[in-house]
Formats: sequence, C-alpha cells, structure tokens
Amino acid sequence: MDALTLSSSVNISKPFHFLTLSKKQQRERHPRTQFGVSCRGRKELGGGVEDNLYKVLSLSPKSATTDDIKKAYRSMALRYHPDVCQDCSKKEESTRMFVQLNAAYQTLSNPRLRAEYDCELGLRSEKIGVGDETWRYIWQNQLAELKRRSHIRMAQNQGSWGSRIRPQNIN
Amino acid sequence: MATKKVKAIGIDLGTSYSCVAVWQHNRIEVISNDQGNCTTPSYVAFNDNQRLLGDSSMSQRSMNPQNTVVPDNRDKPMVTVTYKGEEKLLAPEEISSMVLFKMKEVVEAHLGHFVKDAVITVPAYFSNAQRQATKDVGKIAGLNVLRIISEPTAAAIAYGLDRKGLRVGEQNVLVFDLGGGTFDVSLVTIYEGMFKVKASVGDTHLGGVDFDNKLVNHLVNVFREKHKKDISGNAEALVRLRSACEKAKRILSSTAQTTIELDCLYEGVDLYATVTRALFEELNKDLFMKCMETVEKCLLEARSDKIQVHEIVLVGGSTRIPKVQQLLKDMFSLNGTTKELCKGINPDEAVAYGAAVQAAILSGEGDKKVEELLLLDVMPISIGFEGAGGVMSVLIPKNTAIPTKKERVCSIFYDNQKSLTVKVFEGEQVKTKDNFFLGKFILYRFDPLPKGVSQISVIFDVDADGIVEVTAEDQAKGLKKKITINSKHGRLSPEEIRRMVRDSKRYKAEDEVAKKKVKAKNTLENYAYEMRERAKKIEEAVEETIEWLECNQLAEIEEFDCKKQELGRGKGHFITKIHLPRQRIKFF
Repeated sequence: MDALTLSSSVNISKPFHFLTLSKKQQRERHPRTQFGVSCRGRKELGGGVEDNLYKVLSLSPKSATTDDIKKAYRSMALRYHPDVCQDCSKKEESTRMFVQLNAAYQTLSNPRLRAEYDCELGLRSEKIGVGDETWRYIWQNQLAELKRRSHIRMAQNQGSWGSRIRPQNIN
Repeated sequence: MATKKVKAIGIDLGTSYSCVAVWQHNRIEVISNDQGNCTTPSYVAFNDNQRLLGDSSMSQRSMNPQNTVVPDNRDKPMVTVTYKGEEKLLAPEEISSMVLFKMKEVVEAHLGHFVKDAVITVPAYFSNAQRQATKDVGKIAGLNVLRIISEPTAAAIAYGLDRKGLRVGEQNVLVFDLGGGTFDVSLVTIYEGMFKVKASVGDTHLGGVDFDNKLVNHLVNVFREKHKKDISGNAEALVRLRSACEKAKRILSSTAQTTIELDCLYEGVDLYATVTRALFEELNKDLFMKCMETVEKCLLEARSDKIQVHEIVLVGGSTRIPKVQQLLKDMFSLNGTTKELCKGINPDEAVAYGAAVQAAILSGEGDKKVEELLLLDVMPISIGFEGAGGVMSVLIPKNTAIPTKKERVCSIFYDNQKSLTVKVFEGEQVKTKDNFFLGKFILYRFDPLPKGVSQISVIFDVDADGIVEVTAEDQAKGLKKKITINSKHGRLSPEEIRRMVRDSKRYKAEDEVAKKKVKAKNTLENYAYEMRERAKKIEEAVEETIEWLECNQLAEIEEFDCKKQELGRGKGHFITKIHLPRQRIKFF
C-alpha cells in the first residue's frame, strides 16, 4: 500500500535551514504528533511580503509593541476577512490576504515565536559580518536550546496524549 | 411606513428547544411562537390524522409516546413512526428539518413575509461532517444556510454586543453551555468587536435530560420497592413520569421542595412522591462534577488560568440549576474574592441572538454596531493526513482560525514508488485508524526515484465556511491532484436530500390540508351549537303558546289572532334560518 513518509536531513553546512521559523511553527502547531523526524515546510505568504511578517501587519519591526500588533491585526482583519468583503469578485483575494494576516499574527503575537523570528531577521541582516567563530557559537547555543525545548515538548506531549485517550467526539 | 424586509435570520437549533431571532428595528429581536413562547420544543409528533410541530407536539407526548420524536444529535439512529396508519422510517436529518421548518414558520408568521437565508448554530464539538449535515438539514427545510456557527461563539457575540461599550481591551469569556442534551465549555476572547474561540470542549452525552433521568430512575426504584411493580418497560408511564420529573427539576431551581403526583400511573396505582432540592443534587452529584471537570479541561486546552477569565456566561436552560451555578462560582472564586456569574443574558435566547447578529453581518444588514463586529471561526477538530505507519499527521490543529491554508512537503515511502495515496482524516487521536476518515485521492506517474528523494507538497485549504480542499502536488513533475472534502461529505447523498426536500413539501401540503379540515370542523361545530340554541328558543315559544291556549279556551277573536301573530314571528324566524344551513352545508 502506498504511504506517505516524512523525512528531512540536517545539512550541517547550512544551519540556517535547520533553524527556519516555519519548521518550529509546524512543530508548535501539532505537538501531539509522535514523530522523531520533522518536515521542511513553506510559509504561505504571498510574493513580496514573504520575508517580513511585520510588513503584512504594516508595522515596524523595532518599535512594534504587543498592543500595536493586536490593534493592527484587528483593523486589518476587519478589512480583509471574507465575511466583511461585500464585493464577491474580491472574495478570493480577500481570503488570501486574511490567511497571510493570520499567519503573521500567529507568529508575532507569541513572544517566543516573535523572538525567534526577530533573531532570524537579525541573523540574515548581519550575515556578512559574522565570523566563523561567532557563527559556530550562535549555532551551538541554538542547538542546545532546541534540545531543551524538545525535551519539554516531549514531557508536555505525554500529559497531552494521556488526556486524549478518551474519545472526545462521536460521529 | 413600510417595514424593511429581514434578509437573514438566526436559528438556535437545540436538542430539546429551539429559538429564532432576527435583526429588526436596529436591534436583535427574539421571536415568539404561536403560543407566545420564545423557545419552541424540538419535537415532532405523528398521529393517524396529521403531523404536529412545536408546542402541540409536546402537549400530546404522553398520549402518543411512540410517535413523538426529537432530533438525536448523539447517536444518529433511524426512527420509525406511524403516520396516517403507515410506518415511516425517518433519518435524524429529516426530523431536524421539521424543527427548522417550524422555526421558519414562526418567524414568517411574525414578519409577514417569507425568509430564505439563515445562520444556524450547532454544538461546538460538532465535526465538519456534522456541520455539513446541518447544512443539509437547512436545505431540506427550505432554507439557504449562510453559515454554521458554534453555540458558544454565538453566545459570546450576545455577551460582547451587550457589553461592547463598557469594556476596553481584551476580555476572556468562559461560555458555559448546558442545554437539554449537550454540554459545551468554551473560552472566547473578545477584543474590540473581534470574537475568537481559544478552546472548546464538550460532552455529547450530558445535559438536562440526563438530570431528569436520574430522578426518573430513582422514582422507578421507589415505585418498585413500595408497590412491587416495575414500570420501566411501560412507555406511556415513563413518558408521564419523565415529564413530571422535568417539571419538578424546574420548580426545584426556585424552591427547596416539591411533590410529584401521578394518578393511575401503572396498573391502577398512583405515584405520590416528595422531592427535595437536596435529593436532586445528590442524585446528580456525579454529573455536576463531570461538568466542572470539563471546565478544567477547557482552561487547560486554552492554556489559561482561572484568574484570566473575566466573565462567565451561562447558556442553556440547565444553567438555572442552583447547584451548577454554585459549583461554578466556587471554582472561580480565588483568594477570597467571589466571582459573580453573568446574569444579564437570557440563557435560552443568547445563542439565537448571536446567530441573528452573524446573519446580519453576512447579509449586509445591521447598523454601525454590527458593522464593527467580526467572528473569527475556528476548526472544530484537528485535520490532517495519514503518514508512515498509520500516524495522524495533523496539518490544521483544532481551534485554528479559519480561513487558513497549510502546506507540508513530504517524500515517498518506497524506492521507485510510482503513485501516492493521500488519505484525509479528522480527529484528535495519534493513529488515523482511531480518527474519522474524510476522503482520499491518488497521485499517479512519478518518475522512479529512491525513497526520500521525491518532494510532494500536501496543501490543506479551509475557507470561511469550513470547506476543506486538499491538494497534492509533485513539485518536480508538476503533477497535481485535489479533493474538496466538505462539499461531498454530508452523510446524505444528493439524491437522498432531494427525496427529503420532496417529502418535506408533501408534509407541508398535508399539514395545510389538516389545518383546513380542523378549521372547517370547528366552524361547523360552532354553527351547530348556535342552531341548537335557536331551536331551544323556538320550542320555548311554542310551549308557551300551547299553555296559553289551554287556559284561554273562551278568549275573544282578537286575542287569538294576536297570539297567532306572536308565534308566527318566531316561526317565520325559524323558517328563514332553515334555508341558510342548507347552503352552508353545501359550501363545505
């Protein structure tokens, strides 16, 4: 029988791929999955704004506060959600914009995810100036942090999984 | 001035009672039915002559228990009823559509014009399949269902709209929805007109009917011990007892004690019992604690603490039970501070109210208050596909805001694999075999490659209506295949839906014939009584004249003529009226 399998390889010479935000996002989004491997994913952001979630929310990366992010999300949701789009021909575009908005908000409204994202932005913008030693140090720290979080998630998953033994839904 | 036509209505389709509301006169109005009640029983009854909906079906329930049915959201059994002497097999969707049809009639009678568009509410734990089934139900009833929304979200809208002007900033509202047959707890965040469900947990087998059953079982035991008779097999006795227990439960919400008296309940024996609130609470102790456990579970799932809950909104008639309210208050009273429950919203009407608001938003009605509102609906259950070893690979977790789109890149499992089957599932279990299968498709004609090399994108796209579209794409070769889950997935096939729509129209036509028959019968009955009264008066006049004659044999000519004229007037009256009934009878 045909089956899907998930796999990806860690290429040690390209640590930035290993540390891409979308991978963390996907792990965050389905902690119940008992996989030992993870899968490379792509963020569904439109061309031109893919590199900067702040632009989706029309915010400045450095000065945006948590409140700013919430307000921006609300005002743009009221503009782009398909329910408030009265022009049917624009519904599809409206939906696409709203999906991007949601994805951006999901990352930026979570302090930890935002910090990781900010770090990623910082790494990219400072790439040229980073020496080998500094780079190795940063990478090793991030690897250690990932391992620590992985253990925490495993512990949480055990509790989470146990609480789901009983069926929640009967069709 | 002419009243503007209402475009869309909101319907709370409940397990025991249903409710309908509309946006009218710049506000939400909950519509009363023909008996003056704001909620209508979700019962349908069949007898030898007609089908009964709403209050009339409820009132004859104890006399016709086998043929009085209620939509069963829990186990979806087919139901057999006897209608006009024939056995009918009904799907739960058909029964629900009759309830919706009744609600449609109620609102049309009030508005004075037809309505078509509706937002209908369902329990929060309803899966996509169940929501699609509810859309089918609306279609069978002659409605265009604009949106299916969750009951707690609708209740939160009712709360948020009511309080919108009073609060600034983010509010976490716990919606405690304990109805007749279902129980939901949800945590909803309200932020300046935007409503988002953070978590929702439910119990498909917990509600007011379960509390009633505890009391019923208790009294069945009492009856057995006292009179050595077992009534548990007698349907009529049980229906009478259950109805009395439901009444007692309601009374006990406002008094400490009541009595249940049922004459000739079983084999000529009466039932007489005193029931106290304390007894009721003791019998249902386990169920009440189960409710509180579900609240804890909801907070855990939302990753929120009790201290973060700003308001507790009560929805559903069973939230009036004092013990339930007390337990909730105790649970959320921290550090000596007593938490008060929100009582400004009628628990029976909140859900329909919120549905009507959403209906106004979607149909473009409403005013500035409504224009600034937005409901962010969420996926009710996690959705994903089957990975290696039968593992559920979740792509869109439960409570993800919709519309949403998620993608994952995967690889084939075998060397030189030539095709790929994508199986889509919904559910919260780790293995797909324990989850609910939604659909599948196959991607063909891969180039031969070692396993792990080929790259397949799997994309899940969910629109605002919760319709799921799944696409798989071979990135190298540009192969693409997709399946739309919800448009096909309702339990009923299109042919079945069409048959049920036809049946629904036939039932409606038969209902109208039955109504006319009843009206004609009533008219004739009234006329007959009127005629009897007039006949009595004529008879009295005749008797009076005869008596006079017997006493006045020697009267003068003038007196005799005078008496004849008096009687003649009465006689003429009688003769005149004889013609009319003949004509009217012909009319019928």
